[in-house]
Amino acid sequence: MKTASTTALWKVAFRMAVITTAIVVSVSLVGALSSPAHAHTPKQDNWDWVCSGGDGPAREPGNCGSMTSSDPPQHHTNANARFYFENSVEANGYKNSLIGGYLAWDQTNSHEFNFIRETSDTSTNANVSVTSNNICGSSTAIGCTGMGVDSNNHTVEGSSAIKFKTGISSHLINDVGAHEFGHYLGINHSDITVATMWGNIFDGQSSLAWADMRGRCQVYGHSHGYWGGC
Amino acid sequence: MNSSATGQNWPRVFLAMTVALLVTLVTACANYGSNLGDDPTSLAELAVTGGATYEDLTAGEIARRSEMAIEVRVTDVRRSYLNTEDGRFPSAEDIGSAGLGDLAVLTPVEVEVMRTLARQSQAPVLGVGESFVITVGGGAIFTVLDVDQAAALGMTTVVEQEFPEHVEGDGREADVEIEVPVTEPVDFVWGSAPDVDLSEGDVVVVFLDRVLTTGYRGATDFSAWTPVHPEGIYRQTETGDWLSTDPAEGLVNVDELAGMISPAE
Repeated sequence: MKTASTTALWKVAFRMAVITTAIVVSVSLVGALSSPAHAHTPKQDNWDWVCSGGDGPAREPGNCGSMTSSDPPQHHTNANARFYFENSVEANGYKNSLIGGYLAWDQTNSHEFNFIRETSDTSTNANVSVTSNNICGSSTAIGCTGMGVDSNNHTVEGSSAIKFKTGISSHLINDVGAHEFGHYLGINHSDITVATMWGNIFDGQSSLAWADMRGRCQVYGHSHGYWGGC
Repeated sequence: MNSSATGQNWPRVFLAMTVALLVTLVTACANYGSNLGDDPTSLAELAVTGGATYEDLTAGEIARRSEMAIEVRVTDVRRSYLNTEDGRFPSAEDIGSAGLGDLAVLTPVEVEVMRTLARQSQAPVLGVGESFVITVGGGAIFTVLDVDQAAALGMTTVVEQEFPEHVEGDGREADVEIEVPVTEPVDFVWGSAPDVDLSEGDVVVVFLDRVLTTGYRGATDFSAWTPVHPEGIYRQTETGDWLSTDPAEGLVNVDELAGMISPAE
């Protein structure tokens, strides 16, 4: 026969257990939601379409530096690159052109990589802005991307900025936008003149060339689980 | 009796176990991430990379945007600095609030003037043999942070290594080490070299204008004479001609180009 105090103790213990369980479940959920969707690691050893001057297998050996599977090119650990348009983007009429720029990389949904446009400024995104100031220390630079990279070549999320100069035509901004978002993705300049990541720009460059797609695949692969053939 | 007493103890045992679990959980949460700062000798590498895109200009268009064209011999490529108040790598606190993307690398290149091809009236008059400093923007930064600074930047993985000899300080202060002299606004990653380089002894014709670079996080702006465009630097060939880095231009007549600089702005 249970006493009143025993019943009361059971009630307290039961409530504590419910509260603890709720905390454990909440912490687990928060942890799961705040963690990257999946830790992304580039799987290829050959970064010849990614590194500076990359122009594929024909390039002289050694130009990709020390990049190996243990020292891969710069990449976003969760294969998601978040960014936020500052007010200056819309104020200068660049918004639609820049959307076209990042969609050039993002339009193939079957790739692992995705750009995510935040609707508010957060500590984990790259801020995209338009300025009349000189960027990258030059009067003729029209787009400039800077980002932090840690010792494992992971992009330090929230450290990046993508800037554009005012007064540039929407068509050109579309091309340059695609180029700068390519840098933010982790791809350096290409020697292929028709590539979006060519060091210079010209009409129509916002459409990815084979060299750009190869670069993207070498860093982020394919959601279907294979790394070749993309 | 005994069994009844034992039965009455079960709620207490269950309650104690629940409380213990809760305490363990709270302790684990409180300690989360604190291991990063335990070892002051642990270091993390941080590189700042990026790239710029430039207007697609012809040699003539570059010349028309210039204030001055000079033929020079490079005498010294000085240590680069950043657009911060003291030219050094910013604190973790500043980076936390302003990010790294607004950092600009500026490299002073000291030259000996051989002749002035053309200049606008407000540009300085430079005598033959005079020393002059041009400043090149762009490039990448490599620095070493201690674990606390790395943690403040959100870097969760640190590398155990010997503190490099070239970094000053006692290991608690970050320093900046420019990986190579940056002489051309190109983007590159740690371990690679810029495509075009200005080295001591090079003879070039360079088209310049005065550029104001915004200071990082409210630092004083930097005004400097800077190449108008990466392709506005011409090198002399063995035959005495001047060669553009733009394959579409090839050999150029630098005096003719300099004639396109408007006499006054």
